[in-house]
Amino acid sequence: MLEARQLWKRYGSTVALQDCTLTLRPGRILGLLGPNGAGKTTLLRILSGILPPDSGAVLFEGEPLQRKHLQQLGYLPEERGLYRRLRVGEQLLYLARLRGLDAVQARQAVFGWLERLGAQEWYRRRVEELSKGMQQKVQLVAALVHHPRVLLLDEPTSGLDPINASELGELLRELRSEGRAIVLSTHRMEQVEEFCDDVVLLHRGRVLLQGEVREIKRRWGRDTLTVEFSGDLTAVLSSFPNVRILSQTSGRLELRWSTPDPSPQAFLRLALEHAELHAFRWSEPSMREIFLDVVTAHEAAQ
Amino acid sequence: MNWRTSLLIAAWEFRRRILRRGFWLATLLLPLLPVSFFGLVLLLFLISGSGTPRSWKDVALYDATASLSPSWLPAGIRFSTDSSDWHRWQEELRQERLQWVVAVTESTFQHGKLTVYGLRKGFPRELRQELEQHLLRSIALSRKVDSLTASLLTQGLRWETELLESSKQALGVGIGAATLVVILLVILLVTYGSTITESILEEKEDRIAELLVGAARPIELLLGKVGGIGAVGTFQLLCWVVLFGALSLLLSTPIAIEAPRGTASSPPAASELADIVRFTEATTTVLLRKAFWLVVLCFGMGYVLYAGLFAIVGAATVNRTQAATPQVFLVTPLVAPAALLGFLVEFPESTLSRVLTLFPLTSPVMLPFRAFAGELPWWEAAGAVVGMLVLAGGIFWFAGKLYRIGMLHLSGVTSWRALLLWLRQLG
Repeated sequence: MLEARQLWKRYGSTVALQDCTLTLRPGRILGLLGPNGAGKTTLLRILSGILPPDSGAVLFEGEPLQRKHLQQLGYLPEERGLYRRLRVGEQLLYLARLRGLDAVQARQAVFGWLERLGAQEWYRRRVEELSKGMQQKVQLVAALVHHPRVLLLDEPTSGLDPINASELGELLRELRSEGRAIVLSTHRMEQVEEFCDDVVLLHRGRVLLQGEVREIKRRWGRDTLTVEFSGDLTAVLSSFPNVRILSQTSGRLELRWSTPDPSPQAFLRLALEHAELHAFRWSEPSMREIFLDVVTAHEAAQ
Repeated sequence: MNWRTSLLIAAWEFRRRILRRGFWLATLLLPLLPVSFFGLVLLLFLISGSGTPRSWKDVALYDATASLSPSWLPAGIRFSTDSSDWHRWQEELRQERLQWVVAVTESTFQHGKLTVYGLRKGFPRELRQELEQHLLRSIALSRKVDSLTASLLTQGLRWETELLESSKQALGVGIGAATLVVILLVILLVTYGSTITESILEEKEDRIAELLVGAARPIELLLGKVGGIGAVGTFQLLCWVVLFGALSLLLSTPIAIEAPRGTASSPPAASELADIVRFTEATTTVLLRKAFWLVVLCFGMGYVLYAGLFAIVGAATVNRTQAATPQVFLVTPLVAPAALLGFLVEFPESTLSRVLTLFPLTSPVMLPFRAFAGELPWWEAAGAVVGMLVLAGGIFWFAGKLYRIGMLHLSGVTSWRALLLWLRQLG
């Protein structure tokens, strides 16, 4: 549906994007993953037609991205903003009209989306009277009001409390089931695992990895040992210098073996002597681990 | 480029601004400034006393019948039966070296009608009574009737006033109109120019720029914004025209009622009030009838020129504090003619005046000023218009490019290095 081909973008001497290629398909959520400064926002601005690339092309259904396609794109920028002194309804109607809806369609769409998000009573309220979470919902309505087929969301959950974040997740799944293509830019790896079908790993403007989330994880293999326990395994861990701790919380460990010996079986035997084990299983790596692996390998190769 | 989008933005900008309470307050209260200025002038006139003649040296009596005896007239009054004096006095009246010429004709003897020629109504009551006594006595003598009988028979003379327009008054009205236009244009251009900056900064501060740029092209946004805010300015101008018109009607009504008979009973100060009201009325009439389209045209051209400049300031800065200094520089060429008004009124066709007319940044204010305060050669007017259009086009082109870059920048042009970076992005 939306395709980026070999995009390059520079700001002065800084290269923001290098040879970036990706494809967005309908009914799927693509996670754009990368640390701050990776080039995610620049890529989204180019995909939404705000910035022109220095070279490369953006295609919408095979055609170079043109003005007529912008009506099919909905964009939620990272820099959240609305006219603070204006009423919610007034500016949503304006933004809907700017996106090509006529007055009647705009009114219907604004009321429809506010109702869908349980925010219809905010219509006459000024933006400055709303909480940050409420404002974020209004901004989401602004991105959705013209019923775009492609939705580009830059860090949509930042600043949201867990309840609102969960509601947003539900909404994204609904939108996906309606056949919309969604790009979700984030630096939070767990969100990619939670919402996304596809992922693009971006680092210093370069795509290091892309594909289906499940496929990538499968490719990485079940190399992570998850241990859930009651007690203390510190002494056990100190006996295994070939084990790397990926994550550690109270009663839960994620471990990876860098060399086969001493083996996981030896670890299991020793752990049973020191703590009560509730779970001991091999699992796929998290996106965070995959990301770190990829970046480390890339840095080493450079 | 989609004009429909720009029109939509313009309509929205227009609507949201004229629906504000502040707009209507400013529309109603701003004209009070010049009105209070005129009120102050009026007050000073009233305090400093009347400028009406207190002595007979400002009055001349022309006897077309050549039958009056000068020996019976008040001492000091100029008297003649010679028609050449009559023409000379008319000229002196226009030059304000003489204030009144009283004409005695056959009609005076037949119907008791006396005509007074002057620049204003309100021949002083005390002089009128004295002159009437002298005239009746003189008429009685010329017709061999004693003055008491003559007085009883005629029951007083019927005074009629014919108003003349002096060359000074005509020039004064022109300068008055020009001054008002300068003040009006400076206020409008500064107000609406800085509104462009404010509006761009509002979008940056409220972080909505990116959302807007995702929906419309920057040049469409800029054109819509400039168009909408310009429409607000033109609408406000029209509101003021209606207000001035209504004010003019209100002021002219009591004068018209008072004028025919008021000369005898009006106190001296009333004639000064009448003078000021007449001046205001004449100025407003000139503004409404002759200058309106010129003012609108100059506002339009000046607005486009300055809107582009103010847009550049808005695009290159991120908050009001940063924008304040460049805005002061922008306002300077507009305020300069107003600051030099005293000199320009005195010498409307001086070299400075011509240079300021042709300099595009001062042309919007100087063009109408020159048109009313003196002669404006066609080549100067044409040069000024061409200069403004060329510069406005260039500035707008540059503003459009800078606006595109500035909309997404969260830091303004704060250093020479930043300026270089921005200029490189322009290319």
